[in-house]
Amino acid sequence: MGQIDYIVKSYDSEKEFLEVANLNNLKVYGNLEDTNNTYQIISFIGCDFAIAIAYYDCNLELQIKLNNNILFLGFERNFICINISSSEILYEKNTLSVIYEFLIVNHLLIVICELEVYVFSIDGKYIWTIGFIDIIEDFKVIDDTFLCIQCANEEEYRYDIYTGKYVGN
Amino acid sequence: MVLTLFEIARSVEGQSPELGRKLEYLFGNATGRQHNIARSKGNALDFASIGIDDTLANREYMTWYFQELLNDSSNILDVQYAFYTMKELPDKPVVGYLVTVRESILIGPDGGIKLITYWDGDRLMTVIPKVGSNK
Repeated sequence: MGQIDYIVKSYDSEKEFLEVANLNNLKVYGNLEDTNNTYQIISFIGCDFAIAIAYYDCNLELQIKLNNNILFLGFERNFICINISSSEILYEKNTLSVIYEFLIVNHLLIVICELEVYVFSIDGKYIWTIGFIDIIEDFKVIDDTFLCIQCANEEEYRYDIYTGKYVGN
Repeated sequence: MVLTLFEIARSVEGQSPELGRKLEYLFGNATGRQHNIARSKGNALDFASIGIDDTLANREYMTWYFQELLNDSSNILDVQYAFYTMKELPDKPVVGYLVTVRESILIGPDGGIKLITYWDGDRLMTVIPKVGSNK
């Protein structure tokens, strides 16, 4: 993972951000009509690819994972999977709730959001998802096989990460 | 009669909001992993920026605010299907429920912020405060 290095440059204002994005002919991801507080351009070293993103960070960190040429990005409620060699968007989704963290387990990418979980293969194919009726408060992967979720209402769930099948508490 | 998702979402009018421990989440007192704590602290900072600190009076104000929010269908931004595991039932089926997303302005003594709230009927699920940005 992560053979290609990247640089994240943040901009203080939307105006400056858009000037740079337009100058470099970059597509902007995120919703410019909404209230945003973070404007970033991510450039990938050694390949001719960069991406501009605008979002409200909700006090959470940008999630970024690279697997060979497949880029996974998570910011606010935006999940994007792009082949940076071809610039092809493999998957793009507005998640229901804000994105917390990306986990890599074997050949899977697990996207932990505040109220739901998505699982993709590391080549960008959607596999399964599940929601929760309260905020995810804790999570862990056991034996590279089970995803355990604990919600704020103290309910616990355990899923087979490969199939999404519920297997107990 | 077939109800639209928005009509179903509006059916909670007149009910009281079920807040659970969500005021703790709003005012920076969440527990759990770093994400929850960071989100919760961020919420508290955003509320404090408009003069709504964690006081008894402000908790009462926020409870009143959510009551008003729930009873105003004009703030419904979106209604989405979501799915969860109903583990109380045999075979643990995945069942659908509706998440109503509401957008409003919260006014405090020192200003206002946009508030995106997520509801399962009258139950508050989570909140995203958005402070105006540098355009």
